Amino acid sequence: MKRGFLAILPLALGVATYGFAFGILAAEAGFSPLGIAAMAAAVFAGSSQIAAVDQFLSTGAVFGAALAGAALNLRYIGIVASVTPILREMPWRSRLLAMQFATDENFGLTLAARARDPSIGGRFLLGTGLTLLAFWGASTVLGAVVGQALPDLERFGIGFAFTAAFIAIARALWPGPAALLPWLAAFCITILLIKFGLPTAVGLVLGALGGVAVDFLVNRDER
Amino acid sequence: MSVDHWLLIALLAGSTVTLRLVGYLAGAAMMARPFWRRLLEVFPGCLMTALVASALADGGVAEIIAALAALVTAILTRQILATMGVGMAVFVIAGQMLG
Repeated sequence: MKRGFLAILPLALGVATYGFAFGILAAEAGFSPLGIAAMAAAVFAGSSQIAAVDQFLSTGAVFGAALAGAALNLRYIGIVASVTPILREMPWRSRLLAMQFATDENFGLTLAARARDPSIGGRFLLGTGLTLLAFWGASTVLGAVVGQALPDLERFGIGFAFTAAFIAIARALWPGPAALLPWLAAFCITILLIKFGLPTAVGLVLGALGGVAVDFLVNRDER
Repeated sequence: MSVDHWLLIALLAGSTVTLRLVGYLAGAAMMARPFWRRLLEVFPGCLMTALVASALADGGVAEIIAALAALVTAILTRQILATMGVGMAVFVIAGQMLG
């Protein structure tokens, strides 16, 4: 657990700065610090929390916001699947914990560490996950408290913060040039659908599916 | 906080826990099938791009300029915080210059 804690620390500090910004924005959307803490522990998937709160703030639609967040979390099927061999070595209680706290930042780190040292396993994964939980929870709550105290955040461009965060997350997800056409298609289809009057949450899920369809057409040989 | 806020937390938590369980129980089988594997790999990036598009669809020129600045920062630095800082600063400046 301690090795996991030390290994994830630099990433956890990055997560905390981003959590702080999320907390400020969630306070803007009307979430209390307690609600933010509950969300951090129960959801524990940063980008989906951002996407859902952003949709909720701009449209007020609960189901649309939840759909956007849940769709983004489809990647957890792959993330948890990749650490399943490690999870199976653990007692079931810590197995559930490690599964809940496996996320973008720690699954790759754990697999990379295990490739170098086969003795690394569940406790490392759990240590990284609990460290991230502590940093994510504390930073989002701190952001919410600060956000409630600061009036007039619009002056600092807070209205653009989510869009900028999405651009940065997209950069982190960029898999290489093969994604260019699918991503352009997703971008254009989404803009068109929303301009034609579709609800934002529907437009963006359909736009993303359009991008996937283009990927299946142009990148056939990669499957 | 309203009922809607708690409902959003519950729906998001429920769906995320479910997806993690699906990954644990069926993930290996899904990743063995090229169709599902590819879908799970490609979809999140497309959705993130669509989220950026949805934010810009309702925005004006200041949003577009700030988005370009943020994109360049993201490509060069790969830092979420730097990208947010540059994007927000350019958004404020562009908004003032455009009146």
